[in-house]
Amino acid sequence: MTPADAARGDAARERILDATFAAVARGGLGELTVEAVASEAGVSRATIYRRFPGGREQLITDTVEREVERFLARVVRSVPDAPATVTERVVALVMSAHRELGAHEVMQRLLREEAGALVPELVSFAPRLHDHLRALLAAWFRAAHDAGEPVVVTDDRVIERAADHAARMVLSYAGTRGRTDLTRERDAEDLVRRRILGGVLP
Amino acid sequence: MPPALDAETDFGLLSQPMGASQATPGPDERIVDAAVRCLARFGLSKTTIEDIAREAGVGRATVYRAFPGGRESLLDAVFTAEVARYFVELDRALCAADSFEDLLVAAVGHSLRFLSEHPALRTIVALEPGVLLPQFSFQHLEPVLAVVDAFARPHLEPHVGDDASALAEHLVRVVLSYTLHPSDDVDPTDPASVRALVQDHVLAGLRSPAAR
Repeated sequence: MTPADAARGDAARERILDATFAAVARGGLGELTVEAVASEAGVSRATIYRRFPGGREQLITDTVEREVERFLARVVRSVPDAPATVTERVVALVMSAHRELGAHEVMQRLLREEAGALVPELVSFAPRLHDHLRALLAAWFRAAHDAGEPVVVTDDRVIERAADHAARMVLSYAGTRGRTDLTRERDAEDLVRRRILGGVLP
Repeated sequence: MPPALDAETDFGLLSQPMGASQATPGPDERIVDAAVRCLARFGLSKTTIEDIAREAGVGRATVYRAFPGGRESLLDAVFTAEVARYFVELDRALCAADSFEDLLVAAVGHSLRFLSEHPALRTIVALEPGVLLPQFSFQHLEPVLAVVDAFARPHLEPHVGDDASALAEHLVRVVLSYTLHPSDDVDPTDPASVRALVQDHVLAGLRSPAAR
């Protein structure tokens, strides 16, 4: 395959995933068919099966995967670089994760109406999302330590464990609101200090 | 110390007391126990009244006499009984704790073990993830948080005052995270491992001054 073929292939793949997303946004997950995606994308069913041999299931999984990656990219983009402190960065992370989840209208509707179909898909991506956030947080903890911020985590092993736990809590609080109003920066900062970075800050 | 929660306590979800504390199982309880074993083997949708009757060693008519609403009401009774058993055992573990740290270790350790070792839960989550996972995710978790708050607040208030509800909520999140997504670092069956989790990631933050 030449690079031009690959680029055309990627474009076709993106168009089919766009069509899947549009069809789900209109009719939900339960009603989704390969035919509906084919007509939405203006391609034949055979084209879809060639690119997505798993058919309907693969269309759903790959679309959810792309949404998860976009979500992560949007969240990370809104976090300030150094010289922001590690606390400021994690506050921005959890606030923007909460905001982005709430703003995803299609996901919110599916969570209300078809949680049984959507949640297992999302749960299957949770380990990967968690890995991304853990690596990000570990890098921030190291940078904070190197910059002389008062953090109690110093060696790599402790940093990895603290980042693993903090990533879990960021996902949990962003996904389920509970008692904390994550649209308020002060509440978010309190949460981050006492529940998310408990093992990191002095 | 808060009053001990026993199987007779009327506690929201647990309004149909059942089971764990009675010495000799009655027919209802034997049927519920048999249903748990069937669910562990077949999952939710494949478990039939016939399976449960056979497992309990009774006829179908006996099952319908005990649970006139049939399969639905029997499965509701199973759910209620297992939730009651969880809280009764948790209450016992919490009442035995001598310090705040021990209380947190007991709460997290008991919950992690109950969820990760429950045979029917494991089967249903593996075979039919769409049935239970949504009840513990996103906004659907809120009612669970409310039930745990009502139970845990009296245990936590003597130690943390106004922070009790928020801490109870945090403990639910810790338990669910390590249950749904196990970590190589945390072994629910090892008390030292659970204690390290509590010390490093729950207690450490409580010493931090509030942001305001």
